[in-house]
Amino acid sequence: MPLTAIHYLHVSQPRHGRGVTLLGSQFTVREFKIIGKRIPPKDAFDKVTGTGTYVYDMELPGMLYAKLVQSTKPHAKIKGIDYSKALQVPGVVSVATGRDFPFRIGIYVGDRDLLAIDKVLWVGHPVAAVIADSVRAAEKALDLIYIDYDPLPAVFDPIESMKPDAPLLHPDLGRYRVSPAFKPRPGTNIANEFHLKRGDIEKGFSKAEVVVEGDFSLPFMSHVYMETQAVIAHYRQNGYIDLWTSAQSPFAVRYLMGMSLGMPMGRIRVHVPYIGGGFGGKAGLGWEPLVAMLSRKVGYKPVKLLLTRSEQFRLAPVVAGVRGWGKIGLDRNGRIVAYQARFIFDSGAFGDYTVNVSRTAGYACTGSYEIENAECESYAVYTNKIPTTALRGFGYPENHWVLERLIDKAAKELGMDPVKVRSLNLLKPGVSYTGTGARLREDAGNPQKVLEEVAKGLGWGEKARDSSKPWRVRAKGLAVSVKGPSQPPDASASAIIKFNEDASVDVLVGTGNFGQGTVTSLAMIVAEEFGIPLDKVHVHELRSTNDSAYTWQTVGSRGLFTDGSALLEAIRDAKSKIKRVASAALRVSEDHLEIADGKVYVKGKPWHYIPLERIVMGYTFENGNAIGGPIIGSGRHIAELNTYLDPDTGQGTPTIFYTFGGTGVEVEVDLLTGEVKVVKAVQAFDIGKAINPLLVEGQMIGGFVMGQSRALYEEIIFDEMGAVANPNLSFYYVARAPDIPEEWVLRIIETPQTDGPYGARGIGENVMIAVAPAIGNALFHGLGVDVRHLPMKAERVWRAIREQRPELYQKALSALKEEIRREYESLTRR
Amino acid sequence: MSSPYTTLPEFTYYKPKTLEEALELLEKYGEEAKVLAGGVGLINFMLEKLMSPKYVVDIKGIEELRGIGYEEGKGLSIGAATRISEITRWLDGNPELKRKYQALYEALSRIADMQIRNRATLAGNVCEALPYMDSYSPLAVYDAEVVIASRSGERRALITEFVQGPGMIDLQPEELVVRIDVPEPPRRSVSGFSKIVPAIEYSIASVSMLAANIEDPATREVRIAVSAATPVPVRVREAEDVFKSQGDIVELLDKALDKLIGEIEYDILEDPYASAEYRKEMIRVQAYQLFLRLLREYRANWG
Repeated sequence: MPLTAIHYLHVSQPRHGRGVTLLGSQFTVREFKIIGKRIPPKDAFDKVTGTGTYVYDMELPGMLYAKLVQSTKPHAKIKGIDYSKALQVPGVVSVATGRDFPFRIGIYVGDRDLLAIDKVLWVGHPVAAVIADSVRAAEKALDLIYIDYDPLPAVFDPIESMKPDAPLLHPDLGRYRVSPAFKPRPGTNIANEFHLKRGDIEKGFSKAEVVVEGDFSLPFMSHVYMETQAVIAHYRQNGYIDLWTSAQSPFAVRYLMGMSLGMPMGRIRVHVPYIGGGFGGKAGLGWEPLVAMLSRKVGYKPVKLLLTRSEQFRLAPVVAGVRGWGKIGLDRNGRIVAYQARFIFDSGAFGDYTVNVSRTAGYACTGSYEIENAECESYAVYTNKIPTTALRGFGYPENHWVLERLIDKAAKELGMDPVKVRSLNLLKPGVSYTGTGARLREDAGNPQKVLEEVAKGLGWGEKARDSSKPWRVRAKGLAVSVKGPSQPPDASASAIIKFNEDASVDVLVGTGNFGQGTVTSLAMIVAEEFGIPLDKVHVHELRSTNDSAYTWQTVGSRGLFTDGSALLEAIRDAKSKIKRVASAALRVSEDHLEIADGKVYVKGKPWHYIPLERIVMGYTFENGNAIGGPIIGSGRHIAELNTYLDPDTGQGTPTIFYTFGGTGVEVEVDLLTGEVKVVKAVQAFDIGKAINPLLVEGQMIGGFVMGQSRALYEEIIFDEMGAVANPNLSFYYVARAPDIPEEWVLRIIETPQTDGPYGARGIGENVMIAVAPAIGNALFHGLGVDVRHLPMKAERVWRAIREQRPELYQKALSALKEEIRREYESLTRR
Repeated sequence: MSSPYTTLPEFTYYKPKTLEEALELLEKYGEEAKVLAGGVGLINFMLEKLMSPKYVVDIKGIEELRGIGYEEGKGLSIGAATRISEITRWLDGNPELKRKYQALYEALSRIADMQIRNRATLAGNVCEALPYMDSYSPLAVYDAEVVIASRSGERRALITEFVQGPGMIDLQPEELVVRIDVPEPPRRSVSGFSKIVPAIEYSIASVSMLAANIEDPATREVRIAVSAATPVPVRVREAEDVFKSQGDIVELLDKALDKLIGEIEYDILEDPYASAEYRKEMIRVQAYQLFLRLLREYRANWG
């Protein structure tokens, strides 16, 4: 049986982690010096004091500035572009259009252009780029570029867009470069379709006591990372390209750029300094190829492209809106006997990354449950709107919004406690098969414990507290969630460590550093393993493809698991090299040596040792003879036993781990205004091992607030031309400090996964997945009001209350009036 | 605000030291000049190229336009270059006045965020003339007057008349708002402000209320001002007159709100952020909630 340790973390009373984990395949109790401690992130000082350098801040000598001209039409042929006046603006160096570089780029479906090639696909589509020696000159020239359009019929609704007679956005879809797992349907607007089939759906439903179904939806949203997209490219005359970019995955930028543009990859050098957030929106490939091409066009000078917030909303990829539908059948004991779901991802003008988001929503549609009969289909569909890309959670928030809400509805229909229904159906590690037909590894975690902890933390079964005002009510709800990285079956990672003269260690990894805290955890691992102080471990904030170790991408909560595993291998490698030298110096066999406290010593005789300083650059005997040399360790990780999914049934093994989690909320709803305030949040996750509980807690809190923001507020609004109508943070509201709940219960459960570093699994995304369903379930459970469309903003909740529970509204209004009357009477009685 | 631009159009910048100088510039340049106070509105309009003034006249250097005065019986007088945070801080230091002008205090302390309040001025808020300006309903509830100067003299306009429509104010190019006068509220009065900000930064319906002598129908005065739900701030006197009658207080309130909403029904805004139906109901709901709060405060202060 896997060993489970639980941290009870309340924000007000933090406790330290217990040093319990496994080594190798044997469970061993091991005391840690650093692992499991609450250590502030290494980059906090630079970020909080504003001294860290971001691409946004960077200036290079002789640098030029690019600005993009946006399309004013949703779908049109470009008949002509007149930029002669723009070229006359003093300071303007050049103007580029799509015909200058008619390439298609992308990660999964190569459907993106650098600038519109002959036709525009949405209002905001970059049509031309102005390059000038100042931003002012470039901006002046923007207004002097005249584009002659020949309008084409446009389609904004994804359902309409799937119809055979819909205007086609990508007539060349069949000719685009497509990654093996994807199936665009040429001649249609379907960028990808995915089907999951397991068991016999008809037979399953025939066994059901209750069947519940419903339509659900999620709007387009923005990642709203603090640093808008920024790229500096310097295409050098010697054929090398240097890129400084606010990107999550420098190696993916290099690879995809090399692939798309047919360039030798070693000539592309991608540098990533501090990044002001990413949340998936800076994964894959961004503006880098365009800016590199612009740099070449202006005569090999560095060019910077920096988006304003409004440009970020109108021309850079956002997050797809989704129309979902689900149908669930429970037998009379509460077992899920059948589940069917459909997701239509409105991918906007490009499907590039969203095809994988929609595929993931499809293959993970059965969530945390064992469901023998399941059929899910998922589509990514083009419309004449802003293109979309990945977001933290990647298809899971979407499928959980359907499944986790339906579970509560079905439980109610059956008259059963939704916690009990969940408990009955949760996947059993080592025993159950997931929706893709893969047997769940026996050390995958403890889903039952997660559910139990959420229910306990929320006080499930106890009545919600009374509100201070009679027209407000408190309600509780919960949901569980699961998340695994959505990556190709052969995604890999590596790590290099090299010692400095003072026996401090430089850690070279490729994993990005944009808020998750992975680099701090990686540094802690090195410090722990060599027994050196944490401040002797250096993880530079700059990532460069030419001197960082390779990792596929920083996405999917994979960083600590994959790069951490590679790092442990690098540490073992360095240790064995150190021992080889020490063996000669100390005259004992390597097997009898141990490395700890910054020393190599003889087991059993700790006083017989050599400090690492005297070994890591080579060991020198008394007479001057030397052996060894600088110590460098390297390690790697590759996903094991993952498979492509069957193209017809979606069956196979898509992930290296699943993290199980759950969220509970207590909300206070103003019945008269529809305003929902989250007063208490419960988060519980089985992450195998908390390397740094403080950072885990940070993820739990931050992820909750992001989930809450998506659940209650965030929504991109489109006008009748399909243009983003609220491209700013005044009308696109993101949760702010006063919205954050006051009461938190945070639970870390530690059921180690044998092949994870110290047993750890990823946590970065799962923390936001169950938030919206938990809030939706609270409204459903506590108020009897079913809201199935996000965001659950005040007016929508108000309308739902008035339509579904008019008596509640009336009662609240009467209570308010009664209180006025009472108050007035007590005033006049005197 | 949103814009693909990060640079402002070019303009000539003036920072006069005296009112006389400022008025001369405005007269000289007319429509080609714009007044800069906090810059919260103007700079954004210029960034979006919705306004491209040739001349910008910064009034923050004019000493006589800065600061807050109060005279018993006459009321508050707030200089046009006074920042929002200066006003709320000043009221924090004068608890008696803060209580008298509670609705104004509440509205001003909830404008945008701290950084904006440290820049923005009350006069600028009033001149921006977008429906959701937070100062509108409290100023209307106290019958505040905008004091306008030009080289030919001074004139005054009630806030509800000064704001004429979205983006439209009763101000000529050569004129300058020099201060806002907020008259003394009635004796034995309480006031408050309420707004609904659902998933946007701005209010979709704001209500300010003032109530005096609540327990005595003969001298009772209840004022209700609405903004954000309507293109311009509104007071409906016939609705307020309902409170002068005898009868059940809730029925009076119902009747007054029916009258108020009946009067403004066709003006209520509808946009992607809130339907007219929701805005209408939110005027009513907030009025009830606010009235209850005022009753309690009244009892605590005057009961």
